[in-house]
Amino acid sequence: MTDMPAEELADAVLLASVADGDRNGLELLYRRHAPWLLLRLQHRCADPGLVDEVVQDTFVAVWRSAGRYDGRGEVAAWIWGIGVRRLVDALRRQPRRLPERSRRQPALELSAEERVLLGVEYGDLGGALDRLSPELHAVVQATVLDGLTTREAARLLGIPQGTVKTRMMRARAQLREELA
Amino acid sequence: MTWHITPELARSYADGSAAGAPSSSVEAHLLACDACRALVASEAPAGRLDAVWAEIQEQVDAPRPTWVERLLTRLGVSPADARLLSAAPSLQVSWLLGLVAVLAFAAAAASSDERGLRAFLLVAPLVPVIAVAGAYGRRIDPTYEVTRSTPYPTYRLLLLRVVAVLSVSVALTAVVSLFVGAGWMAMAWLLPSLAMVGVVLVLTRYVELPVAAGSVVAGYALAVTAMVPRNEVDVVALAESTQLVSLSVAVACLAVVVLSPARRAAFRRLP
Repeated sequence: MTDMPAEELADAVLLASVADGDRNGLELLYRRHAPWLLLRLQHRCADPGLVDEVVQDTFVAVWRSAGRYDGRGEVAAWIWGIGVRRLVDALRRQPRRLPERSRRQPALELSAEERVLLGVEYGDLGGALDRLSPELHAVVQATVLDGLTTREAARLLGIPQGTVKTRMMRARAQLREELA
Repeated sequence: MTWHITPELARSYADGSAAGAPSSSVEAHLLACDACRALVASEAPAGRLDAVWAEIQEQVDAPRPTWVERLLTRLGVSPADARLLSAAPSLQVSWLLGLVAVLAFAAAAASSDERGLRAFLLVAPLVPVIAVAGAYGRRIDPTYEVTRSTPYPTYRLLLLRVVAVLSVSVALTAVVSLFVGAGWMAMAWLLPSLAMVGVVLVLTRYVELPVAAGSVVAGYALAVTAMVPRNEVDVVALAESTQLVSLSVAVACLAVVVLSPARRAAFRRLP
């Protein structure tokens, strides 16, 4: 991967060309980032139509505001930041539907691969996260992993801001206890 | 990164069966790893992604809505109606600037003395009427041919345009009136102006909008010049009876426009 055909140009380079109005750059970015964005949004919203709409909005926003990317951090993280906020906005406009996962009990039995994966990525944290109740896990996911503010998380999950804060406190206490 | 997403994990993440923590690991890892993004992409619904891409291309190609359109959509007008409204020639910036310039001169004259105020009150009523003249018509509207061949009621379009143009020009004139410094007296142009616009709307039943508005403006100008030698202008411009007559004319015209069955039918009739 030392020489760079168009397909392997760095995201930041592609984004700069998109800022100059390059449609091919936008398509390459879309092929690269839309699939995981769609799946990740799908884990947070059970309505496929709404998810498609948010993915569409996100990349139209990328096209229009590519020049605003400041070059710090991963382009993927920047795109996710746009996407998850568009999802929060879309949910505010529509009657919300809970994502599948937050209704489901966390899986207690992990496969061998998952154990290895978690051991490397998070140490005990992965297991501790999985032992959180679905409500607490959803709050940790929205605020810590998705990078939303308390207010945005409240909108995403359809609960009051105060509840987000108390659940976050409970989650933190539980994690601290398990990891001590 | 010391590990990468396995094909099994990618599959279980894509179909939603992966547990919370592995999912979170996948999501964190995907932000930084191109190879794993490609792996997960192979599990994503390709048909949906292609459909969304087609929509994106369409949106990227479409011209960006102007500030007028965005404002109107914000106010609850449908995007299609907003596009039609904002294409009204008299909503273009050059028109607005021209109107503001005329008003500014009149206001400058008005703030000098009481004669100036009367001059202002004679010019200001014309501004909304002139703006309405440019709202819709064969020669002045760049979208005229397009809208004629569209299944959209012409009369409805005309009324929508007139309402939009009228609100903008009345608001502009009102703002300028604030600087005249004569308090509420400076707003005396409003009713005569609305009365003239009402007459214009009634006339559109028989002639095109620019012709109707032009005739009304001409009639007004003739009446004013006829009064000048007899020194009646000053009296008429500020008289209470002028306001009352204007109000009745405006209400009568509005009643004709709203209540007439022929016009109601025209509001719905396709060209």
